[in-house]
Order: sequence, then C-alpha cells, then structure tokens
Amino acid sequence: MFGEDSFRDDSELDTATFLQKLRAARELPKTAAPPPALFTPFFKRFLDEGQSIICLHPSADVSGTVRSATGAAQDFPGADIRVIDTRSIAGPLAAMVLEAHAWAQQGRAAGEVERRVREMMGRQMIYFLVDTLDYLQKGGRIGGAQALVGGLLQVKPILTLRDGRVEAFEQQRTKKRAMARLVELVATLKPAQRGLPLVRDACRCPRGCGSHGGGPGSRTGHPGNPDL
Amino acid sequence: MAADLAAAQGIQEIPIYELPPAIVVHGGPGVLAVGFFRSAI
Repeated sequence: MFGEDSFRDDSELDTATFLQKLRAARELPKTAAPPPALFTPFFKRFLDEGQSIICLHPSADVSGTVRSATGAAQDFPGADIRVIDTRSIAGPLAAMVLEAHAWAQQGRAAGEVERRVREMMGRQMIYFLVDTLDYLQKGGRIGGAQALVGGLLQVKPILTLRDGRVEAFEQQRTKKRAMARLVELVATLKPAQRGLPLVRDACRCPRGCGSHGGGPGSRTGHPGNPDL
Repeated sequence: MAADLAAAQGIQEIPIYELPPAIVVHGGPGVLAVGFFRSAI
C-alpha cells in the first residue's frame, strides 16, 4: 500500500513499477496479508470437489497470512484444511509449495504430503543480504537483528531466518565480500545436491513480477523429488 | 554469485527468481537471498 493506494503484488504491481514507486515514495509503503475472504472461494471449491487442502504460508512471525487462512478455515468446520506455518519465506517456501503440489499430483495422501513438507521445513536455510537495515527496521520485521541498527554504517549485514524470525547472522565490509561469504556458507552447510539452492534478487529485475514464466517450478527441474 | 555457487556445488544451473514486492518492501532495494535445503541425514 502506497498511501491510500493498494495493489495486489501477484497481479496489480510489477516489480519495475514497484521499485520506481518505492524510491519515489515519501513514506515507506505498507504490506497487508491477504484477507480471509480471498481464501474462502478456493477452500469452498476444493472442498466441494472432495479434496483435502494443505495451505503453506510464510512464517507467522513476518506475515499475517497464516492468521488469515486459519480464519477462513474456521468457516468450514470439520473440513480437512491443513494450514501450515512453514517458518520460511521466499525460495524455500516456494520450493515446498512446488514439491507438495508434485506429491499431491502423484496421488500421495494429504497426511503424507504434510509429513514430507514438515520434514523439509526442518532442513530449510535462507540467508539475506540487504543494502540497508532501514527498511526492515521501519517495517518492524527486524526481530533479533535489531541490535545491529545504529552500529552499522558501511557494513553489509547478512541476515537469516531462525525459527521464522529475522535474525542477524554476521556482517561483512562490502557487498562483494558478503556475497562471497554466502557462497562459503552454502558450501559449509551441504545443501541437498538434487534440490535447490535458490538465489533470489529483487532489484535487478528487468521484467515485471508477473513475468515469472512458468513460476519457480518450471526451473527447479526436480518435481516431486523425495530426497529434496 | 550464481555461477560461483554452481561451481562450488557442482550444479549446472542455479535458479534465480525475483522477490515479490511484499518482501522488497521490508528488505529494501538491493535485497538478495540464498535459500536451500540441507541434505537429509
């Protein structure tokens, strides 16, 4: 939301336009989780088809989406709607959604899909590099990285998610050094070789956010990989 | 960076995706993330 103007980020505001507005804005924009009413028609449709629903969401510590979905699910008492707080965001969350979808398409039961997703949750890792902590601070999403504020001038902080919360990991002198450090970290932590890693960069995007092609799944190349 | 990651991990291609505005609002312009899953034990 820029002032009184609100946009859906999946269909009404591409990344290029968003960045243009962000840089020009006098006040930082705000975000809001999708309201329960947005979930309701999807829940009704799938339940009418006799399906179970597994709903994967960003960490409840940084998003109100879990709360909205839970609220919508309460309108369907007794229905098999599994709202899962993945304690993640971005790439790992996208990967879990894609894997869960692939498993469902393979005919696996909702309970097994949920179990596999929860297993993935325990292995997810994500590190962030930001140019400044200002945006996280002003948006109230900084959590345990709060201690860094005020202590950093030219230093580039590396942040991570710990149990769904944004936490400081370490700091580097330059962005180049921080990026090299991220490469080291990934090597140290031994990612699943047939899985990701994912790299996400918001701001060099020459295209709109609606132009993801087939979405992340079209590029992961490992649908339904049980080892991921 | 993706090339460095790919070389270090012996992976041919590292997928690169765009973060949506809802995340960039909080991370700010220039935010970059690396996500992955550790190997199952």
